[in-house]
Amino acid sequence: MGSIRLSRRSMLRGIGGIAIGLPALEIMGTSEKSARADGVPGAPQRYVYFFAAHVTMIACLYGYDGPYPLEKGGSIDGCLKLIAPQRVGRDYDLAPSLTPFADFGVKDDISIVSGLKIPWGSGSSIPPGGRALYYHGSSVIPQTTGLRCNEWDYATNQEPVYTGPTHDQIVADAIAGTTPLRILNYGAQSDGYTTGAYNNARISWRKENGRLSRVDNVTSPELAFQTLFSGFGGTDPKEAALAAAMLKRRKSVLDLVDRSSSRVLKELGKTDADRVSRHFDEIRTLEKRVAALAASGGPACKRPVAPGNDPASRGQEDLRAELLGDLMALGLACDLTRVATMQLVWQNSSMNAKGVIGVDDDLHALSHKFVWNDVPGDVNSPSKNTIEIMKWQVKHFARLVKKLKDTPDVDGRTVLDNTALVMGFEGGYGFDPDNGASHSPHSTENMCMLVGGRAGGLKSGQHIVATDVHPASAIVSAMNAVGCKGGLGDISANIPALFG
Amino acid sequence: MVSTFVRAFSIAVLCLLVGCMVDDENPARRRRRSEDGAPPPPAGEATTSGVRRISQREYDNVVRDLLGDTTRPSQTRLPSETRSPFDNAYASQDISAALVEGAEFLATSISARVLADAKQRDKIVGCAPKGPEDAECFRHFLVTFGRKILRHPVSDEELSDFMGVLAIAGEEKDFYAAVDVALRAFLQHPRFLYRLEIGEPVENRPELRRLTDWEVATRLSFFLWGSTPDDRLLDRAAEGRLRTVEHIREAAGEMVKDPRASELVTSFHAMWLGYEKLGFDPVLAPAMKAETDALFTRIIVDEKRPWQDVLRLRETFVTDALATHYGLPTHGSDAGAWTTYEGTERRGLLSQGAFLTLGSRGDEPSPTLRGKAVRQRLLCQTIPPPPPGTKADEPPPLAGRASCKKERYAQHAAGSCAGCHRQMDPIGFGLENFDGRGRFRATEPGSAECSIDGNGEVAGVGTFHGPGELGDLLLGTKGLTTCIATQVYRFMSGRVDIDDADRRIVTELANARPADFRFDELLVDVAAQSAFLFRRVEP
Repeated sequence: MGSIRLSRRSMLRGIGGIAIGLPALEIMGTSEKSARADGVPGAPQRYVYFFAAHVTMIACLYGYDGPYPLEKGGSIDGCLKLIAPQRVGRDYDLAPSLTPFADFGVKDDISIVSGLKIPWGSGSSIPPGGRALYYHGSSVIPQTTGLRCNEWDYATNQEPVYTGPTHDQIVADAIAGTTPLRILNYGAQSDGYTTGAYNNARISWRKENGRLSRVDNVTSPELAFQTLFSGFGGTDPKEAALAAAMLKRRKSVLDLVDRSSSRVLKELGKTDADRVSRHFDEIRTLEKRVAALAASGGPACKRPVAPGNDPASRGQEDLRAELLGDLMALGLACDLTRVATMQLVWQNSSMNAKGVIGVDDDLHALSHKFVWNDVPGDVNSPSKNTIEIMKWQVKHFARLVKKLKDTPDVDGRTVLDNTALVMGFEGGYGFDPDNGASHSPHSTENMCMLVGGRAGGLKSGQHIVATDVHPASAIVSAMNAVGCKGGLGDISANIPALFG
Repeated sequence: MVSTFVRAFSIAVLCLLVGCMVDDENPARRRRRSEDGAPPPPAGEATTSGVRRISQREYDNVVRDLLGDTTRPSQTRLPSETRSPFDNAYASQDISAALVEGAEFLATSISARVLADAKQRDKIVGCAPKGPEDAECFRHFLVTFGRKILRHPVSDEELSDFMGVLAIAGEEKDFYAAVDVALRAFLQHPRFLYRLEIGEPVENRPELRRLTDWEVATRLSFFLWGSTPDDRLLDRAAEGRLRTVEHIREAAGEMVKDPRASELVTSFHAMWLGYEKLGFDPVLAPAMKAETDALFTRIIVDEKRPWQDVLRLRETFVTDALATHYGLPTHGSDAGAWTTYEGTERRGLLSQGAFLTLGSRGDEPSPTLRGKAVRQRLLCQTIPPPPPGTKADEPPPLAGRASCKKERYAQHAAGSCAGCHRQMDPIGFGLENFDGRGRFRATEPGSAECSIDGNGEVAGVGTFHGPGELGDLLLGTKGLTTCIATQVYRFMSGRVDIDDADRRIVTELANARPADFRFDELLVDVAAQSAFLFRRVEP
C-alpha cells in the first residue's frame, strides 16, 4: 500500500502570528490486506461530487453604464469567461477560476464541460429537468436530481421542494456494497453567519422505504475522523487490547441505546413514530458498523493521527475544507466508503468571505457587487473577488484530485484511476428569465461542470462544449462511469465525449 | 375598548394590505376560557405538539447544567437547525446519519471530560464505590442521575438493562468504565435527545392528551430556561405539584427569577430579532451583540421595566470601539459601559447595530429588506416573496451616475410592485440615515449630492423620522403586543405555523396586556393556562 498524507495546514497561523507547524502524517503505511472492504479482487469504483455556489461564469467590465452591456449595445467579446476555456479539446487553456488545476498539476485529470443549460418555465410549462423562475434555489434541484424544480409556493411561502433523491444517494445505494460507510456528506460551511440553515445548507436527499429526507452535512473534522477511524487498533498488543476494550464499551453503549429506543418507539403515536423512525434506523446502522468492525479486526488502513481540534466555526472554512478533503481522500482510499460529497458553501450564503479570500463582506453580496459596479482596469475590481471565490472552491476540488492521483490503489493503478469526480456549480451566465436580462449571473445558461478521474473509461483532461445539454448529463456520465446504469430523473443521456 | 380598537385597526390594516400581506394573527375571534386549570381546555384550545429534538443551544445548556461542561460542544457537531426564527421548530427538524454520529461523538467526548475531572465525576455519581462492581452505588447513580438527564424516572426495565453494564466494570476492574458506558448511553437516549410529549388519554376528548407531570416540568424548563429541569422542578413533578394552573403559576413565577431565565431572555430575543449571528467584523459584531443583550437584560431582568422601554431607552451599552464606530462619546474602556444617546436621534433597540444590520448585506442597507424585517419580525406580518419575473435579489439598477437611492427605488412604487413595496420601502427609508452597520450618515456614500432625508412611513399607521420615532409608532399599535405574544407562543410550542386554536390563545394573551407590560409576566401567563397542561394530538 502506498501512502497518503493527512496534513493539518503546514503553516497554521496561531495567536500573535506565530507559525504552528504540524507534521504531515503518514497513515496508510504497509498492510498485508487489500484495501478493499469486501475482499473482492480488483479495485473498488468511487464517486465524488463537489458543489460550488456564488459563481459567475463570466466577467464583463461594465462600468457605471451597465449593468448589462448587451442591452446597451455592448459585445460579448469584451467579457472574460471565468471557467470555460477558449480552446476546445485536450489543449484547453486555463480560465482565471481554473488556475488551481495548474497549481496542483491536475489539468490532464479533469475535463470541463461548458455550454450546459437547465431549461426553465413556469407552472405546468416547466420542462422535464427544468426549473421555475426565481433563480436562487431553483438550479440545484434539477442538477442534482434531474427532476423539475417547482415554483415557490406563494400560498404557504415555502421554498421549492425536492421530489426525488439526489444522484449521490442513488449511487450510494448502487455501489456502497459492504463498505462501513454508505456515503460521506461533508460541508465546509458550518455557520450561517446571519441566517440559519434552510434547504440551502444541504445538497443531498435520500429516498428510503418511500420516504424522502434531507441529509445533513458533517462539518466537523473531529466528528468525521471519529466516524471513519474509531475502532482502528494499532499493531502494538497493548494498544490493540485497549482498542478492543474501547470497542466493547462502544458496543455496549449502542446496545443500551437500541433497547431504550425500542421501548420509546412503542410508546409513541404514529405521527411521532414516523418522525423519529429515521433516528432509530441510523442507530441500527451504526450498531451494525461497529459490530462489523469488531468482527473484522479493523480495516486495512492504520488509524491515522487525529486532525486535532475543529477549526473555528467562522472564518476557518478554508482549513475545514482542507481537513474534510483529506479525510474524504482517506475514506475513499481505504475503502471505508465509495461515495462522498462536499458542499463548499451554502447557496445564497451570508458567509463572510474574509476567511476564504480575505475580503470582509458576505459571499452573496460580493458575487453581486461585481455585476453592479465593476470598474474597467481597476486592480481592486469586484470581479477579482468573484474569481477568488470560485478559485477557492475549485482549489479544494483540484486538491482532492491530486491526493487521489498520488495514492496507489490495490490494482497497481491510482485511486484516481478508479474514481469519477464531478464538480457542479450553482449557475452560469446568460438569459435571466426573472428580468429578461440577456447577460445575468442569475442564469442557468452557459453552465459548466468539471468531471475528473478515470473510472469506467472516463477520458479526463479535455474541454468539451455541449451546447444546451443539461448539466445533469455530466452527472449521469460520472454515475455510468462507476457502474450506475441509466439516467438521473428526467435526464437519460450521458455526455459521450467524456469517454472518448 | 381595547379589543374594539384592535379590531378596527386590524381591519384597516388588512384593507390596506390586500393582495400583499397576511397578518399572522386573526384577533377577530375571542372566547373566554376557564382559568381553573384541572379541567381540560375547550375544544381545540391546546397546543399541538410533536416529538422535538433538543437544539444545539439547548444541548449545550443541558450539559453545562448537568455535567459542568461549559465548552458548548454541540456547535458544528450536531447538524445546525433551521431558524424559523427560533431553533426549536420540530416540523422542520431532519434526522440523518450526521445527527446520530454527532450524538455519539459528543457522548463519548463529554463522558471522557467528566470522568477525567474527579470532582465533577463524584458529583454526578453521588457515591463512593466500594469496588469495581459496587452495585448499590451504581444503582444510586443510575436512579438519581438518570432522572435528571432523562427528565423522567428510570423504569425498572431500563434500570435492569443498565445494571448489566457492571460486568464491564468487573472486566476492566474499573467502576467508572460502567459509569462511562451508562453516561454515554444516557447522552444518546431518545428521552435525552428528544422532548417526547406522549401524555395520557383524556376522557371523551380523543383529540387531547394530558401531559404527564414530567412532561410539564420539561415543557416549563425548556420554555423558561432553555435547559433541563433541576431537582427542585423534578421534585414538584414527582409530588404532583405541576397539575393545575395555580401550580404552574407558582413554579413559573419562581423560574423566571433564576439566572437561567435571564439567559433565555437574551437568546429568545436574539433569535426573534435575528441578531443571534452577526456576520462581520470580529471586534464590532460581538460588541453589538453584547449591546443588544445588555439592553434586554437591563430592561427585562435587572430593572423589571415594561418591555416597551426597550424601544425608548436613551442610553446604550457600548465598548469604546463600538462607541467610536457609532460616533458616540467613548468612556475609555474596552469593556462595555452605558453611554447616553443625548444629542442624537438614537433611541432604544431600533438604533442599535444589531437591529440596523437586518436587511443589510454589507454596509448598504436595503430599504425594502429593512421594511420587510420590521413587518415580519416586529409586527408578525408575512410578506410573500416577489413573484416570478422580478429580480428581487438586487437593488434597482443605477440609472446614471447621479441618481440617488430614493429615485431608484421609485421604480418599486409603480405598477404591480407598489402593493407590497409600499408596505416595506417607506419604513426602510425612515432608517436610511443609518447604514448597514449602524453608523449615521447625512448623504449617500460616494454621492455627496444625494442627501438623505430620513423620512419614513409605516403604511396605515403614520409617518416618522429615524429609529426613535419608528419605535413610537410601533408602540402605538396593538400589532406589536400581539406579535410579542405570538413569538413567545411560537417559541414555547416549537411551532411556526400556528393555527386558529393557537391564535385564540395568543389573542387572549395579547388582549389581557396593558399598553406597557412586563415580559416576565407574559412568560408566566403563557405557561399558566390550562392549554399548557395538554397537547393536541397531531392529525
